[in-house]
Amino acid sequence: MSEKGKHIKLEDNSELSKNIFDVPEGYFNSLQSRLIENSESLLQQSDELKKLPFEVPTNYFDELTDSIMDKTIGAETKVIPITHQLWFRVTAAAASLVLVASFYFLLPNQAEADHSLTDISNDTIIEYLNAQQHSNENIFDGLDSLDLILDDIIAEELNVFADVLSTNTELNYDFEYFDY
Amino acid sequence: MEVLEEKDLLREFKEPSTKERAFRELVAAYQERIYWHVRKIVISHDDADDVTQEVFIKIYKHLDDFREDSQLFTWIYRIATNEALNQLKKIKRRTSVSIDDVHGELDNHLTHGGLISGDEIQMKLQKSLLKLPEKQRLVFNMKYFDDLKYDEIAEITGTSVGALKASFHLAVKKIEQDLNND
Repeated sequence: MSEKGKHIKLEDNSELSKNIFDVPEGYFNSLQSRLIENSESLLQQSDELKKLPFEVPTNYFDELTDSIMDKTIGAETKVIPITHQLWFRVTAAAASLVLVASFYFLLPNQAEADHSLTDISNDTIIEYLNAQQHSNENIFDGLDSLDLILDDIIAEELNVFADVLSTNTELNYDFEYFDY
Repeated sequence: MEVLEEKDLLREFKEPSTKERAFRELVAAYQERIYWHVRKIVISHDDADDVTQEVFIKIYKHLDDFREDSQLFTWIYRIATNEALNQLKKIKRRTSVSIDDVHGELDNHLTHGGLISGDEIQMKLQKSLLKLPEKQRLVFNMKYFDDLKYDEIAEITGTSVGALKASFHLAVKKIEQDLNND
């Protein structure tokens, strides 16, 4: 059968549905940019628009530099560790002297102690040691209750901190928008 | 004073003996750009002053951790943008208004606040900008006033270049419409 007599169908004809039009290379990549450039016309026409209507006080930027340096480098050099501070060293030396003196005057003389024990009966010594043990147990009981009090205080402070964070979200804001 | 390259500046900052010189140079190089970037967002000089100082304190504290997988100036802009947006939240709380109404407060400062000058058209543009959503205003500021490239803005805001182009395009359309209507 000749070509002339062939019946052409539109449906399911991939040859006919092919796009015969072409665009310059990179056309679509630059289309968005060109649209933006065209729409910027009014704003681009006037250099006056690019000027900001804001002012700063006289010498502001010089003072800003000083203020920033003071709050960063300056703050760091001003922080002297407690162990390097004069008052701490003087107090520590005085406390050491008092401690040494206390040991010297308060510790019983060994010879005197040996001599005095010979005058005391064994019953009295046993009674004394029992009383001492009981007293030590009371001290440990006291320490346990002190721990409980401290735990309560810590829990209470943590709750206050959690409340503050939940009601003042800016305290938790860091890196909320962006990760540095 | 000889201007340090970015890598030299970072290296010198890590050395205790040259830390102060390096940081002073960084402050001198960036403080005005950062101040104006922040001022455009928060409008008031006092707020911009607070934020700028806070930005450099943060830079000082975190510069040792800067990973150098982005440019230093985009990292600094990122901190500044974050701090400025956070300042808007503080203004919102200070004035007990919603985040949308913060722009009303900023507009009020633009009209009645101190250290504001400029001619009518510049004021009009700033007032038009305050009608935009926050993201569009940010993108417009960085592209139009600061002449940053889209890929730089993308690095600062963590947004794709395509989305930024769309934001800028929308911002331009709205501003032109607003300027022509007035």
